[in-house]
Amino acid sequence: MKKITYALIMALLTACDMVEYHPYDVKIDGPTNLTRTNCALIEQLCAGKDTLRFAHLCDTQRFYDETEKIVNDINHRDTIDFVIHTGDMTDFGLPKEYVWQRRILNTLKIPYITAIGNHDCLGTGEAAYHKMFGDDNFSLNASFLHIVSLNTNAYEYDYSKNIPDFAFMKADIASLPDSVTSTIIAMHVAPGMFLFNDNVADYFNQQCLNYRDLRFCICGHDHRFEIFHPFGDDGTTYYQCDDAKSCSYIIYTVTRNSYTYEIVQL
Amino acid sequence: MRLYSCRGLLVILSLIGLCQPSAAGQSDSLQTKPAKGSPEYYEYRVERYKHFWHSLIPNQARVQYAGSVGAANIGLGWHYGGRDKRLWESDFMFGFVPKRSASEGHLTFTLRQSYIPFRLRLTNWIAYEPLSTGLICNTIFGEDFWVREPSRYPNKYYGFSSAVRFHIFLGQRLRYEIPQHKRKFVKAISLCYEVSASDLYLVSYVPNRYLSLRDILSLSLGIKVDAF
Repeated sequence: MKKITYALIMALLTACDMVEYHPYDVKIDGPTNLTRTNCALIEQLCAGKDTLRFAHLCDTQRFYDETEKIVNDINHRDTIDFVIHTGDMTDFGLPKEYVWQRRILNTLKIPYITAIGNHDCLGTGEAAYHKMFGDDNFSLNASFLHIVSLNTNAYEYDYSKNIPDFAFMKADIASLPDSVTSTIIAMHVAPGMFLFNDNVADYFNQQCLNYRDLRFCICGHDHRFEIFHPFGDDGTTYYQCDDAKSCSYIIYTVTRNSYTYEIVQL
Repeated sequence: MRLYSCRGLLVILSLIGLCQPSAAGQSDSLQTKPAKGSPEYYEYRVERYKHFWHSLIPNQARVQYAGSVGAANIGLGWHYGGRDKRLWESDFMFGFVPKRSASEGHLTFTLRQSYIPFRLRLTNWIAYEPLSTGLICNTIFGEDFWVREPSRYPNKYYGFSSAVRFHIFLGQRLRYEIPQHKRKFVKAISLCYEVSASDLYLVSYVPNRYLSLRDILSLSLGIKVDAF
């Protein structure tokens, strides 16, 4: 009898779990507001460090097996301080895709932050992103390093919103603490790529350079590894990470006066 | 955009209508076709005309909870086919997705085509339908969703429609046929449950061992009422 009751209760719980009103219904159970939590964790863990090491992955949409593999590999390294995901966690912007990605990313032993990708904006995807992670423009200070994450998917909004948000960048620059000496900017779509508002690319670059000692920018979107300089060979360096399907990610080691990168291919 | 989707739905609805007369079984007066010009010919044509429109009267109603097409759904439909075996059903339903802290509420419209291969009689009035299966086409209304990608994108940039979802389902039902002397307006009531999977979940599930069926399946509960 006990067994039957147990089985019935389990069946009922499974059934409740399977109730969904619509794939685009933004009902997200479990941890939300992850950006704020993780930014605080990163600031706390990195405080006072002179060498920072972070992993960069991107375009994990619909590559759950591969994303899990990457996360496991990162977990086996003890030297990485945090992870930056530069967008496209979802393929269709479905809240459930966010939940599945969170389930994998939350197994990371270190905190992670994200940038919103163009696929993440589809349907109610942007609302789901706001609910699960928080603002789509934010920054944090990891010891001497200022890290900025920007929404650059201008085309998704048909240029009807301020994307990239220069007001955010200006206010962010104005409130930089003295402890910060260098900056890294994370985004999904980089200048020159399809979906970026290239009409303001030069102005965007000026704003980026207004940050204290901009080291480099990281991005994704084109599903391949690439180092490029959209504003001339002496201009800002952009690192594009390959998608999760390729089972690769990048590790950057940033010190107060130099940096190196390493591509990890699993 | 919206017109385009409405047109598609109208085509499907009229197809449902067209398959009705043949399935319903014609009455005796329509069996033999009188010769053209004979006095009965006109009557025959009128009967046929009436019969056609009569067969378009919805003969069942349905309320449904959840199932990835809306929180609560209500609709009308048609059942046709054999009396005790191989039943077909077509329904349309309106539903809504509730407002959430992060998003607005939305209205939905659903077309369902179900197939019930057989019905087992348990008692005189109670029958069990161990299998119902079929296709669901659902559209969600709102400016965030598109049937066809906005023209600003290059051809098939995303390659899917965020407004239109297709689901496949499997389900079971218990049917209570109200004894004739107790009938007022309703002939039978069925309790149904269904487990469905949407197209976008299936394309996520297939290439990923990480996802389990439990991740992608959606449960719905429903009540179906047959008027005649």
